[in-house]
Amino acid sequence: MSITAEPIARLVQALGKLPGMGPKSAQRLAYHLLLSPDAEIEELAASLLSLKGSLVFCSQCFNVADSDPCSICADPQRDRTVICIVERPSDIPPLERTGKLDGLYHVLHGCLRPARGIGPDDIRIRELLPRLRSGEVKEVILATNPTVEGETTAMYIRQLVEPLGIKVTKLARGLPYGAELEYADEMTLGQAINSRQEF
Amino acid sequence: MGSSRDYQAEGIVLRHSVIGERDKIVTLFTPDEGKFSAVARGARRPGSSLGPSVEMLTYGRFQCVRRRALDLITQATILDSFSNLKADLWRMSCGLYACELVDSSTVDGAPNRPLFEFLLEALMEIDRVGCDDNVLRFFELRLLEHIGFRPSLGCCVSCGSSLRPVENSLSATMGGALCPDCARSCPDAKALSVSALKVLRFWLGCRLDVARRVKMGTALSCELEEHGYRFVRNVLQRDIKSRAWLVRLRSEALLTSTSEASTIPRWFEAE
Ligand SMILES: [Zn+2]
Ligand SMILES: [Zn+2]
Repeated sequence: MSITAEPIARLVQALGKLPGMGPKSAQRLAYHLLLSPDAEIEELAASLLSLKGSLVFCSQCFNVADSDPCSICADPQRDRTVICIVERPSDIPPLERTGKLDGLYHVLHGCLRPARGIGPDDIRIRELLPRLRSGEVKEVILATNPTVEGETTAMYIRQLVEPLGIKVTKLARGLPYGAELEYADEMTLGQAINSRQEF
Repeated sequence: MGSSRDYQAEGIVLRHSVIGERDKIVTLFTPDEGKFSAVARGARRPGSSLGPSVEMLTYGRFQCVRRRALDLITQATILDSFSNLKADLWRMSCGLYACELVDSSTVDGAPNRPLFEFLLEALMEIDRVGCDDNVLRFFELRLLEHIGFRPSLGCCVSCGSSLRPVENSLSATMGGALCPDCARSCPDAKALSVSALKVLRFWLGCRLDVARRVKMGTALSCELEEHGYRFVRNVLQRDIKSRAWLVRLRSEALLTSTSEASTIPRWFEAE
Protein backbone atom coordinates (compact mmCIF):
# COMPACT_ATOMS: atom_id res chain seq x y z
CA MET A 1 0.00 0.00 0.00
CA SER A 2 1.32 3.44 -0.89
CA ILE A 3 0.28 6.76 0.58
CA THR A 4 1.62 8.64 -2.46
CA ALA A 5 -0.55 8.94 -5.59
CA GLU A 6 0.87 6.79 -8.37
CA PRO A 7 1.75 9.65 -10.85
CA ILE A 8 3.73 11.43 -8.13
CA ALA A 9 5.51 8.28 -7.06
CA ARG A 10 6.43 7.65 -10.67
CA LEU A 11 7.80 11.17 -11.12
CA VAL A 12 9.74 11.00 -7.85
CA GLN A 13 11.28 7.76 -8.98
CA ALA A 14 12.25 9.18 -12.37
CA LEU A 15 13.71 12.36 -10.89
CA GLY A 16 15.57 10.32 -8.28
CA LYS A 17 17.62 8.74 -11.05
CA LEU A 18 19.12 12.10 -12.03
CA PRO A 19 22.70 12.73 -10.92
CA GLY A 20 22.96 14.58 -7.64
CA MET A 21 19.29 14.04 -6.83
CA GLY A 22 18.47 12.32 -3.56
CA PRO A 23 15.00 10.95 -2.74
CA LYS A 24 14.14 14.00 -0.64
CA SER A 25 15.07 16.52 -3.33
CA ALA A 26 13.23 14.42 -5.92
CA GLN A 27 10.10 14.56 -3.80
CA ARG A 28 10.43 18.29 -3.21
CA LEU A 29 10.85 18.88 -6.95
CA ALA A 30 7.90 16.66 -7.81
CA TYR A 31 5.58 18.64 -5.54
CA HIS A 32 7.00 21.87 -6.89
CA LEU A 33 6.13 20.76 -10.42
CA LEU A 34 2.67 19.71 -9.29
CA LEU A 35 1.96 23.25 -8.19
CA SER A 36 3.52 24.92 -11.26
CA PRO A 37 1.39 26.54 -14.00
CA ASP A 38 0.32 24.20 -16.82
CA ALA A 39 2.22 26.21 -19.43
CA GLU A 40 5.52 25.74 -17.59
CA ILE A 41 4.98 22.01 -17.26
CA GLU A 42 4.14 21.73 -20.95
CA GLU A 43 7.27 23.63 -21.90
CA LEU A 44 9.37 21.38 -19.64
CA ALA A 45 7.82 18.21 -21.06
CA ALA A 46 8.29 19.43 -24.63
CA SER A 47 11.93 20.36 -24.06
CA LEU A 48 12.60 16.96 -22.50
CA LEU A 49 11.02 15.19 -25.45
CA SER A 50 12.97 17.20 -28.02
CA LEU A 51 16.23 16.66 -26.14
CA LYS A 52 16.87 13.19 -27.44
CA GLY A 53 15.10 13.62 -30.75
CA SER A 54 16.96 16.61 -32.13
CA LEU A 55 20.42 16.39 -30.55
CA VAL A 56 23.32 14.65 -32.21
CA PHE A 57 27.00 14.16 -31.56
CA CYS A 58 29.16 16.31 -33.79
CA SER A 59 31.15 13.77 -35.78
CA GLN A 60 34.27 15.98 -35.59
CA CYS A 61 34.49 17.19 -32.02
CA PHE A 62 31.84 14.96 -30.33
CA ASN A 63 30.13 17.91 -28.74
CA VAL A 64 26.37 17.48 -28.35
CA ALA A 65 24.77 19.77 -30.89
CA ASP A 66 21.64 20.28 -32.93
CA SER A 67 23.55 19.79 -36.16
CA ASP A 68 26.48 17.79 -37.45
CA PRO A 69 29.04 19.33 -37.71
CA CYS A 70 28.26 21.50 -34.70
CA SER A 71 28.13 25.29 -34.99
CA ILE A 72 31.71 25.62 -33.72
CA CYS A 73 33.19 23.10 -36.15
CA ALA A 74 31.14 24.58 -39.00
CA ASP A 75 32.24 28.14 -38.29
CA PRO A 76 34.83 29.20 -40.94
CA GLN A 77 36.09 31.95 -38.60
CA ARG A 78 37.43 29.47 -36.03
CA ASP A 79 41.14 28.73 -35.89
CA ARG A 80 41.55 25.17 -37.15
CA THR A 81 45.12 24.88 -35.97
CA VAL A 82 44.11 24.72 -32.30
CA ILE A 83 42.10 21.97 -30.59
CA CYS A 84 41.08 22.28 -26.97
CA ILE A 85 40.36 18.96 -25.24
CA VAL A 86 37.65 18.83 -22.59
CA GLU A 87 36.08 16.04 -20.56
CA ARG A 88 32.42 16.97 -21.03
CA PRO A 89 30.22 19.00 -23.39
CA SER A 90 29.27 21.16 -20.40
CA ASP A 91 32.91 22.27 -20.12
CA ILE A 92 32.65 24.14 -23.44
CA PRO A 93 30.23 26.97 -22.55
CA PRO A 94 32.38 28.34 -19.69
CA LEU A 95 35.47 28.23 -21.92
CA GLU A 96 33.56 29.97 -24.72
CA ARG A 97 32.36 32.67 -22.34
CA THR A 98 35.96 33.69 -21.67
CA GLY A 99 36.22 34.72 -25.32
CA LYS A 100 39.88 33.65 -25.21
CA LEU A 101 39.67 30.51 -27.30
CA ASP A 102 38.82 30.67 -30.96
CA GLY A 103 39.98 27.21 -31.99
CA LEU A 104 38.05 23.96 -32.10
CA TYR A 105 37.21 21.49 -29.34
CA HIS A 106 37.36 17.78 -28.75
CA VAL A 107 35.01 16.29 -26.17
CA LEU A 108 36.27 13.10 -24.53
CA HIS A 109 33.01 12.26 -22.74
CA GLY A 110 34.75 11.33 -19.55
CA CYS A 111 38.26 10.82 -18.31
CA LEU A 112 40.53 7.88 -17.62
CA ARG A 113 39.58 6.23 -14.34
CA PRO A 114 41.95 3.29 -13.87
CA ALA A 115 40.42 2.06 -10.61
CA ARG A 116 36.96 1.98 -12.19
CA GLY A 117 38.19 0.15 -15.26
CA ILE A 118 37.60 3.12 -17.56
CA GLY A 119 40.42 3.17 -20.09
CA PRO A 120 41.25 4.94 -23.36
CA ASP A 121 38.81 2.77 -25.33
CA ASP A 122 35.90 3.83 -23.15
CA ILE A 123 36.19 7.54 -23.93
CA ARG A 124 36.75 9.38 -27.20
CA ILE A 125 40.54 9.44 -27.25
CA ARG A 126 41.02 7.28 -30.33
CA GLU A 127 38.82 9.67 -32.33
CA LEU A 128 41.24 12.49 -31.64
CA LEU A 129 44.14 10.99 -33.57
CA PRO A 130 42.72 11.22 -37.13
CA ARG A 131 41.99 14.89 -36.46
CA LEU A 132 45.61 15.45 -35.53
CA ARG A 133 47.13 13.51 -38.40
CA SER A 134 45.66 15.88 -41.00
CA GLY A 135 48.67 18.14 -40.39
CA GLU A 136 46.52 21.20 -39.90
CA VAL A 137 46.63 21.19 -36.12
CA LYS A 138 49.56 23.01 -34.50
CA GLU A 139 48.49 23.10 -30.86
CA VAL A 140 46.49 20.88 -28.53
CA ILE A 141 45.25 22.57 -25.35
CA LEU A 142 44.50 20.13 -22.54
CA ALA A 143 41.58 21.42 -20.48
CA THR A 144 40.79 18.30 -18.46
CA ASN A 145 39.86 18.75 -14.81
CA PRO A 146 42.71 19.38 -12.33
CA THR A 147 42.05 16.08 -10.58
CA VAL A 148 44.08 12.89 -10.41
CA GLU A 149 41.93 11.32 -13.11
CA GLY A 150 41.87 14.46 -15.26
CA GLU A 151 45.65 14.73 -15.00
CA THR A 152 46.06 11.04 -15.82
CA THR A 153 44.03 11.67 -18.95
CA ALA A 154 46.01 14.78 -19.84
CA MET A 155 49.38 13.07 -19.39
CA TYR A 156 48.25 10.08 -21.43
CA ILE A 157 47.07 12.29 -24.29
CA ARG A 158 50.32 14.23 -24.16
CA GLN A 159 52.13 10.94 -24.62
CA LEU A 160 50.06 10.23 -27.75
CA VAL A 161 50.23 13.72 -29.23
CA GLU A 162 53.83 14.76 -28.68
CA PRO A 163 55.35 12.23 -31.11
CA LEU A 164 53.22 13.84 -33.83
CA GLY A 165 55.22 17.03 -33.44
CA ILE A 166 52.23 19.04 -32.22
CA LYS A 167 52.63 21.56 -29.41
CA VAL A 168 50.81 20.43 -26.26
CA THR A 169 49.73 22.99 -23.69
CA LYS A 170 47.67 22.66 -20.53
CA LEU A 171 45.49 25.16 -18.73
CA ALA A 172 47.51 26.71 -15.89
CA ARG A 173 46.59 25.53 -12.42
CA GLY A 174 46.87 28.81 -10.64
CA LEU A 175 45.46 30.57 -7.63
CA PRO A 176 41.75 31.21 -7.86
CA TYR A 177 40.77 34.86 -8.10
CA GLY A 178 40.04 36.27 -4.67
CA ALA A 179 42.05 33.61 -2.84
CA GLU A 180 44.63 34.46 -0.21
CA LEU A 181 48.12 33.07 -0.62
CA GLU A 182 48.36 32.04 3.01
CA TYR A 183 45.54 29.54 2.58
CA ALA A 184 46.66 28.05 -0.71
CA ASP A 185 47.62 24.39 -0.63
CA GLU A 186 51.10 23.29 -1.59
CA MET A 187 49.98 21.62 -4.84
CA THR A 188 48.16 24.69 -6.19
CA LEU A 189 50.88 27.05 -5.06
CA GLY A 190 53.59 24.88 -6.61
CA GLN A 191 51.76 24.81 -9.92
CA ALA A 192 51.12 28.54 -9.75
CA ILE A 193 54.86 29.10 -9.29
CA ASN A 194 55.67 26.81 -12.19
CA SER A 195 53.28 28.59 -14.51
CA ARG A 196 54.22 32.14 -13.45
CA GLN A 197 54.33 34.74 -16.20
CA GLU A 198 56.20 37.91 -16.92
CA PHE A 199 54.29 40.82 -15.40
CA MET B 1 33.75 24.78 20.24
CA GLY B 2 34.65 21.09 19.75
CA SER B 3 32.15 18.53 20.98
CA SER B 4 32.37 14.76 21.27
CA ARG B 5 31.12 14.59 17.70
CA ASP B 6 34.29 16.27 16.42
CA TYR B 7 37.34 14.21 15.71
CA GLN B 8 40.55 14.45 13.78
CA ALA B 9 42.01 11.79 11.52
CA GLU B 10 45.18 11.59 9.51
CA GLY B 11 44.74 9.55 6.42
CA ILE B 12 45.22 8.86 2.76
CA VAL B 13 42.45 9.50 0.23
CA LEU B 14 41.88 6.17 -1.51
CA ARG B 15 39.04 7.23 -3.78
CA HIS B 16 36.09 9.53 -4.05
CA SER B 17 32.80 9.81 -5.83
CA VAL B 18 30.65 12.79 -6.58
CA ILE B 19 27.42 13.64 -4.84
CA GLY B 20 25.15 16.57 -5.55
CA GLU B 21 26.49 19.42 -7.62
CA ARG B 22 29.59 20.33 -5.69
CA ASP B 23 30.21 17.70 -3.06
CA LYS B 24 32.34 14.61 -2.87
CA ILE B 25 32.16 11.42 -0.87
CA VAL B 26 35.74 10.75 0.13
CA THR B 27 37.06 7.36 1.21
CA LEU B 28 39.91 7.75 3.66
CA PHE B 29 42.28 5.15 5.01
CA THR B 30 43.49 6.12 8.46
CA PRO B 31 45.64 4.35 11.06
CA ASP B 32 43.18 4.60 13.96
CA GLU B 33 39.74 4.59 12.36
CA GLY B 34 40.57 2.27 9.48
CA LYS B 35 38.77 2.95 6.24
CA PHE B 36 35.72 5.20 6.21
CA SER B 37 33.85 7.51 3.90
CA ALA B 38 32.89 11.08 4.64
CA VAL B 39 31.29 13.95 2.79
CA ALA B 40 33.39 16.94 1.70
CA ARG B 41 30.93 19.71 0.94
CA GLY B 42 31.77 22.04 -1.91
CA ALA B 43 34.98 20.15 -2.69
CA ARG B 44 34.39 20.21 -6.45
CA ARG B 45 34.08 23.98 -6.61
CA PRO B 46 37.25 25.73 -7.80
CA GLY B 47 38.73 27.60 -4.89
CA SER B 48 37.20 25.30 -2.28
CA SER B 49 39.58 25.06 0.65
CA LEU B 50 38.74 21.35 0.95
CA GLY B 51 39.15 20.51 -2.73
CA PRO B 52 42.89 19.87 -2.98
CA SER B 53 43.06 17.92 0.29
CA VAL B 54 40.36 15.41 -0.60
CA GLU B 55 41.77 14.53 -4.02
CA MET B 56 42.92 10.95 -4.50
CA LEU B 57 46.49 10.12 -3.52
CA THR B 58 46.68 12.80 -0.85
CA TYR B 59 47.86 12.35 2.72
CA GLY B 60 46.17 14.82 4.99
CA ARG B 61 44.83 15.68 8.39
CA PHE B 62 41.05 15.80 8.36
CA GLN B 63 38.76 17.50 10.82
CA CYS B 64 35.52 15.52 10.87
CA VAL B 65 32.11 15.62 12.50
CA ARG B 66 30.30 12.41 13.33
CA ARG B 67 26.80 12.23 11.94
CA ARG B 68 24.11 9.59 11.81
CA ALA B 69 24.69 9.06 8.10
CA LEU B 70 28.10 9.76 6.56
CA ASP B 71 30.48 11.87 8.62
CA LEU B 72 31.35 15.33 7.42
CA ILE B 73 34.84 16.64 6.67
CA THR B 74 34.89 20.24 7.82
CA GLN B 75 38.55 21.15 7.45
CA ALA B 76 41.63 19.55 6.01
CA THR B 77 45.35 20.14 5.86
CA ILE B 78 47.60 18.47 3.33
CA LEU B 79 50.50 16.58 4.92
CA ASP B 80 51.84 15.24 1.64
CA SER B 81 50.34 15.70 -1.81
CA PHE B 82 52.95 13.43 -3.48
CA SER B 83 53.52 16.06 -6.14
CA ASN B 84 56.33 14.19 -7.94
CA LEU B 85 54.17 11.10 -8.12
CA LYS B 86 51.34 13.16 -9.59
CA ALA B 87 53.60 14.76 -12.18
CA ASP B 88 54.37 11.44 -13.85
CA LEU B 89 51.83 9.22 -15.61
CA TRP B 90 53.49 5.96 -14.67
CA ARG B 91 54.12 6.83 -11.03
CA MET B 92 50.60 8.15 -10.58
CA SER B 93 49.15 5.01 -12.13
CA CYS B 94 51.23 2.86 -9.78
CA GLY B 95 49.98 4.95 -6.86
CA LEU B 96 46.39 4.37 -7.97
CA TYR B 97 47.10 0.64 -8.20
CA ALA B 98 48.47 0.60 -4.64
CA CYS B 99 45.41 2.48 -3.38
CA GLU B 100 43.02 0.17 -5.19
CA LEU B 101 44.78 -2.84 -3.70
CA VAL B 102 44.46 -1.41 -0.20
CA ASP B 103 40.86 -0.39 -0.84
CA SER B 104 39.98 -3.87 -2.09
CA SER B 105 41.64 -5.62 0.83
CA THR B 106 40.10 -3.61 3.68
CA VAL B 107 36.62 -3.18 5.09
CA ASP B 108 35.18 -0.05 6.66
CA GLY B 109 36.02 0.67 10.27
CA ALA B 110 38.71 -1.97 10.78
CA PRO B 111 41.96 -0.21 11.74
CA ASN B 112 45.19 -1.68 10.40
CA ARG B 113 48.03 0.64 11.35
CA PRO B 114 50.83 -1.45 9.84
CA LEU B 115 49.03 -1.51 6.51
CA PHE B 116 48.46 2.23 6.68
CA GLU B 117 52.13 2.88 7.40
CA PHE B 118 53.10 0.50 4.63
CA LEU B 119 50.92 2.32 2.08
CA LEU B 120 52.23 5.70 3.19
CA GLU B 121 55.82 4.52 2.96
CA ALA B 122 55.22 3.08 -0.51
CA LEU B 123 53.61 6.27 -1.82
CA MET B 124 56.48 8.32 -0.40
CA GLU B 125 59.00 6.02 -2.02
CA ILE B 126 57.22 6.18 -5.40
CA ASP B 127 57.03 9.96 -5.04
CA ARG B 128 60.70 10.28 -4.16
CA VAL B 129 62.39 7.63 -6.31
CA GLY B 130 59.82 6.21 -8.73
CA CYS B 131 58.18 2.87 -9.27
CA ASP B 132 59.50 -0.18 -11.04
CA ASP B 133 58.36 -3.80 -11.14
CA ASN B 134 60.21 -4.62 -7.92
CA VAL B 135 58.22 -2.00 -6.07
CA LEU B 136 54.91 -3.28 -7.43
CA ARG B 137 55.71 -6.92 -6.64
CA PHE B 138 57.05 -6.07 -3.18
CA PHE B 139 53.90 -4.06 -2.50
CA GLU B 140 51.63 -6.97 -3.45
CA LEU B 141 53.62 -9.43 -1.35
CA ARG B 142 53.74 -7.36 1.80
CA LEU B 143 50.15 -6.21 1.40
CA LEU B 144 49.18 -9.89 1.59
CA GLU B 145 51.20 -10.15 4.78
CA HIS B 146 49.54 -7.08 6.30
CA ILE B 147 46.06 -8.46 5.70
CA GLY B 148 46.92 -11.84 7.19
CA PHE B 149 47.80 -13.82 4.08
CA ARG B 150 51.59 -13.91 4.27
CA PRO B 151 52.67 -16.60 1.79
CA SER B 152 54.29 -19.48 3.61
CA LEU B 153 57.70 -20.02 2.03
CA GLY B 154 59.69 -21.76 4.76
CA CYS B 155 58.81 -25.36 3.96
CA CYS B 156 56.21 -27.25 1.94
CA VAL B 157 52.74 -26.10 3.05
CA SER B 158 51.35 -29.57 2.42
CA CYS B 159 53.81 -32.10 3.90
CA GLY B 160 56.03 -29.75 5.92
CA SER B 161 59.29 -31.04 4.46
CA SER B 162 61.97 -28.44 3.91
CA LEU B 163 62.25 -27.16 0.37
CA ARG B 164 65.30 -28.28 -1.58
CA PRO B 165 67.03 -25.97 -4.06
CA VAL B 166 65.15 -27.41 -7.04
CA GLU B 167 62.12 -26.14 -8.94
CA ASN B 168 59.34 -26.15 -6.36
CA SER B 169 55.81 -24.80 -6.80
CA LEU B 170 53.62 -22.07 -5.44
CA SER B 171 49.91 -22.51 -4.78
CA ALA B 172 47.67 -19.53 -4.16
CA THR B 173 44.87 -21.64 -2.69
CA MET B 174 47.27 -23.48 -0.35
CA GLY B 175 48.86 -20.17 0.58
CA GLY B 176 52.49 -20.99 -0.06
CA ALA B 177 55.25 -23.13 -1.52
CA LEU B 178 54.91 -26.83 -2.31
CA CYS B 179 57.59 -29.49 -2.76
CA PRO B 180 57.64 -31.23 -6.18
CA ASP B 181 55.88 -34.33 -4.76
CA CYS B 182 52.96 -32.45 -3.22
CA ALA B 183 52.69 -30.11 -6.24
CA ARG B 184 51.58 -33.04 -8.41
CA SER B 185 48.31 -33.37 -6.51
CA CYS B 186 47.62 -29.64 -6.24
CA PRO B 187 45.63 -28.26 -9.20
CA ASP B 188 46.73 -24.63 -8.92
CA ALA B 189 50.41 -25.29 -8.24
CA LYS B 190 52.60 -23.22 -10.54
CA ALA B 191 56.32 -23.70 -10.99
CA LEU B 192 58.43 -21.63 -8.62
CA SER B 193 62.06 -21.24 -9.62
CA VAL B 194 64.86 -21.30 -7.08
CA SER B 195 65.62 -17.61 -7.75
CA ALA B 196 61.98 -16.59 -7.39
CA LEU B 197 61.72 -18.37 -4.03
CA LYS B 198 64.93 -16.68 -2.92
CA VAL B 199 63.67 -13.22 -3.89
CA LEU B 200 60.28 -13.73 -2.24
CA ARG B 201 61.91 -14.92 0.99
CA PHE B 202 64.26 -11.96 0.94
CA TRP B 203 61.42 -9.52 0.31
CA LEU B 204 59.41 -10.89 3.24
CA GLY B 205 62.19 -9.73 5.52
CA CYS B 206 63.40 -6.42 4.13
CA ARG B 207 62.26 -2.88 3.59
CA LEU B 208 61.03 -1.36 0.33
CA ASP B 209 64.14 0.72 -0.30
CA VAL B 210 66.25 -2.43 -0.03
CA ALA B 211 63.80 -4.62 -1.94
CA ARG B 212 63.87 -2.39 -4.96
CA ARG B 213 67.62 -2.85 -5.39
CA VAL B 214 67.29 -6.54 -6.25
CA LYS B 215 68.54 -7.00 -9.82
CA MET B 216 66.65 -9.47 -11.95
CA GLY B 217 66.13 -10.41 -15.57
CA THR B 218 62.91 -10.36 -17.56
CA ALA B 219 62.07 -14.03 -17.03
CA LEU B 220 62.30 -13.83 -13.25
CA SER B 221 60.45 -10.56 -13.16
CA CYS B 222 57.61 -12.05 -15.23
CA GLU B 223 57.49 -15.14 -13.03
CA LEU B 224 57.15 -13.02 -9.90
CA GLU B 225 54.49 -10.90 -11.53
CA GLU B 226 52.38 -13.94 -12.35
CA HIS B 227 52.74 -15.47 -8.89
CA GLY B 228 52.06 -12.15 -7.19
CA TYR B 229 48.89 -11.40 -9.05
CA ARG B 230 47.56 -14.95 -8.78
CA PHE B 231 47.98 -14.72 -5.01
CA VAL B 232 46.35 -11.30 -4.80
CA ARG B 233 43.50 -12.41 -7.06
CA ASN B 234 42.93 -15.53 -4.98
CA VAL B 235 42.91 -13.71 -1.65
CA LEU B 236 40.85 -10.70 -2.71
CA GLN B 237 38.56 -12.75 -4.96
CA ARG B 238 38.35 -9.95 -7.49
CA ASP B 239 40.26 -8.24 -10.26
CA ILE B 240 42.19 -5.09 -9.53
CA LYS B 241 40.95 -2.84 -12.31
CA SER B 242 43.90 -0.48 -12.46
CA ARG B 243 46.20 -3.40 -13.21
CA ALA B 244 44.84 -3.56 -16.76
CA TRP B 245 45.77 0.10 -17.05
CA LEU B 246 49.34 -0.55 -15.88
CA VAL B 247 49.69 -3.40 -18.37
CA ARG B 248 48.40 -1.17 -21.17
CA LEU B 249 50.63 1.75 -20.25
CA ARG B 250 53.63 -0.51 -20.18
CA SER B 251 52.96 -2.03 -23.57
CA GLU B 252 52.25 1.36 -25.13
CA ALA B 253 55.29 2.90 -23.52
CA LEU B 254 57.29 0.13 -25.15
CA LEU B 255 55.75 0.87 -28.53
CA THR B 256 56.20 4.62 -28.40
CA SER B 257 59.35 4.53 -26.25
CA THR B 258 58.40 7.69 -24.37
CA SER B 259 60.06 8.81 -21.19
CA GLU B 260 57.61 6.93 -18.97
CA ALA B 261 58.98 3.64 -20.22
CA SER B 262 62.34 4.46 -18.72
CA THR B 263 60.95 3.80 -15.26
CA ILE B 264 60.50 0.14 -16.17
CA PRO B 265 63.86 -1.55 -16.35
CA ARG B 266 62.55 -4.89 -17.59
CA TRP B 267 61.54 -3.42 -20.91
CA PHE B 268 65.02 -2.06 -21.30
CA GLU B 269 66.38 -5.55 -20.99
CA ALA B 270 63.78 -6.89 -23.38
CA GLU B 271 64.97 -4.61 -26.17
ZN1 LIG C 1 31.96 19.95 -33.55
ZN1 LIG D 1 55.37 -31.47 0.24
